[in-house]
Parts: sequence; C-alpha cells; structure tokens
Amino acid sequence: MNRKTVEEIKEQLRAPDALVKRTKYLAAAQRERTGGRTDARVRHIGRRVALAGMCAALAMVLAMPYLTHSNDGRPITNGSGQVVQGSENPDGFAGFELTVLAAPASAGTDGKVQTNEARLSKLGPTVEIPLADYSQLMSSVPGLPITIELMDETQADEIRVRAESGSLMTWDIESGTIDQAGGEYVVHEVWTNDPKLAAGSETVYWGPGDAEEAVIVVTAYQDEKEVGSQKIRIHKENGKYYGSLV
Amino acid sequence: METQSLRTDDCAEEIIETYADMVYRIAVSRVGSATDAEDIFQEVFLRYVRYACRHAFESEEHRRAWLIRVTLNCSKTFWSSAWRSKTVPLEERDCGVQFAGNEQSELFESLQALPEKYRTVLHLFYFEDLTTEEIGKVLHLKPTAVRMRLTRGRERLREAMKGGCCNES
Repeated sequence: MNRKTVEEIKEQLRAPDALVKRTKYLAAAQRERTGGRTDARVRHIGRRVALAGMCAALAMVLAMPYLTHSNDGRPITNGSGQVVQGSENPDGFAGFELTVLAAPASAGTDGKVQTNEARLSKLGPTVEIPLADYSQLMSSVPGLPITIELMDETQADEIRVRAESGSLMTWDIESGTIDQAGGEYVVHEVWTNDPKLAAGSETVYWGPGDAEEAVIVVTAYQDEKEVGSQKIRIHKENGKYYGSLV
Repeated sequence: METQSLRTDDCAEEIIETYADMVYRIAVSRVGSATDAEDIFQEVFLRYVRYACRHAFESEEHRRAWLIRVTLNCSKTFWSSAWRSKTVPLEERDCGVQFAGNEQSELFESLQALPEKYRTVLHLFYFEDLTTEEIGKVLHLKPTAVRMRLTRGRERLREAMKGGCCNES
C-alpha cells in the first residue's frame, strides 16, 4: 500500500471542524447532566441523613426523661446539683455518633440490606437477571432486565441476545429513551480481554407483549465462531414473569 | 503523546480534539458514509464522557484502545440496527466521501470492498499505525491471526486494484 496515498487519504478524512465543535458542545452538556445526576444522588442521601437525624432527635426527646433521671426516677445531678442533659452525664458519655448508610428503604433492622434485586440466577460469570420477578405493572423498568456483565476475562468479541417471543429493548436511564431491538440484540459494549481495558456491563430488557412464556438465548461469539450459549426460560405465574436457566 | 490527566472527565474537549480524526476515520472506514460516521463519532465521544466520569484510564494507550474498540462496536451496532437495515437499502446509500485524486479514491473504494475483518485490520495497521500486537488486543485476536489477516487482506486488495503495489512495513 502506497504510504503517500495513505497519508493523502488520511489528510482528506479529517473530522470536520463543525462536527468536532458540535461534539464538544454535546460532551459539555453531557458532563453537566452527569454532574446533575450526582448532585441528585447527593441530595437523595442528604434527605436520608436529615430524616435519620430527625428520627434521632425524636428518639432523644422521647428518651430524655430516662437520660436525665436515674432508675429510681430521681433526676441525675452533678456534684453541684445541676440536672445533667444527655451527653453531659457524669459517667463521661460523650454523646451520640450517628452513622447513616445509604441503603434502600427496604433495609432490614439487622443492618443487612434486604435488596429486592436479589440475583435470581447466574449464567456463568457473565449473564444475570437482576430482578427476582417482573410484572408488566412495574413502572420502574420497561421489561425484565437481563444484564450481561463483561468481565476482564471475557473472551467473546460479540454477544447476541435472542428472544423467541416477546421483544428486546434497551433503555437509556438518563434520557428515558427506549430503543426497540425486536427479537435480537447485539451487545456492543464488549471489551477486550486485555486487563488494561475495563470491563463493562450492559442491560437489555425483555418485554413480554402477549407472550405467556419465552426462551431467551444468549450466545457468545469469538472471531465469528460460537463459543458458548445459554438459555433462559421465562414463564408467567400469577401475573408475574420468572426466569430460570434451561 | 503527552500524558494527560487520566481521570479524564475534566479534559474531554482535549481528548475529542486529539482523537477526532482517528475516530472519524475508523467510523468512515467501517460504515463507508460520512454522514453515518458523524453519528458514530458523536456517540463514541458521548460514551467517552459517561465512561470517563466513573473510570480512570491507566495510560494513553489504554484510552486510545478504548476509543478504537468503542468506535468499532458502535459501527457494528449501527450496521446491525434493525431500523437501519430496514430503512436504508445498501445500494441507495450515498458514500459521501470524496477524494481529490483518482489514486486515493481507488484505494479507498477497494478497501471498502474488502470483507470487514480484512478492512479493519488493514485500516488499523496502515491508517492508525497500530502494531499487530496492539491490533490483536483491540480485536481480541492473537498477533499471528492479525498478521494472517493482514497478508490475506493485502492479497485481496492487490487483486481488487489489479496489480497495484502493496508494500508492507
């Protein structure tokens, strides 16, 4: 291949300035949106902390008679007879240190998070269904999510998700856009197995339509050859859809 | 290349400036249309911004490999998009890429006529100056497989150009 011709083609295939400028503008807007999302998350945690603080204050008010009175009902006093309030008690109690962890509202009292996203099943290291069940009445997701985790050791260069009934779609959470993929979806966030390149994950959603059950086939390809395949069977029971490995 | 901040959400504009031509060329090479390449170009850098907000790149090579991989993936998704394949028949697509000389046009069109697996390897090797090892990492191929594709791609290109010269180095 003639190097001079290659260089001439390269010169003529430069990204148009208007495109670069437009993309910079969009990137800046995207960054602001991403920052906005972070702020929202911080505000969300802040609201939880404030709520926890109010609960703690209420608990303090309710507990005040017990903190300022001894077991026999007499007020706790210091040497000069002053009533001790809360953290100023004579035993050196330094007050409350309240640590609030951001956890779903369904967090249990034992400190463990009782997540409703318990992983139903795993397909090897790469494919999982993050919801235990799915109902068309759910407004939080557009369909039954199927997440393809792409680990560093992922060897496949292409992963295809095929639904024999119902339809597949992707959902951009930030913009709320849903793209219908039909019966087949090609996972495009496939990274190299080079550990320097980060792993990623992608979620595709299955919408049942009128289907009562479906089989979803996830197939991995390397260099255009099939290197592995997994099937998920979805069935409907009492109005909810459940997935299981075939 | 000068190493920039590897936590890159703060210098997206510089990254776009630095890699604009590379991403655009790869996109044009894969989809064969300047208009479609522009869509892919934007998508790649918007993904970059989203990704760079949460991840750091280990090196400039890592960042470049990431951009190449995502450009290839976006191009592949673009072609496999059901909407695209149903709405724009291949024969009606306007390439939109024009060159000043016949030699460039002939080479570019011959490259475009090659099967994707040869075209990509040839493009990365000759136009983006990646080594066979680097191409192997990006395409998940062993260097020997890359070299094999290079050899076969050059043979096919030579046939397509009917006696044109294909020097490698």
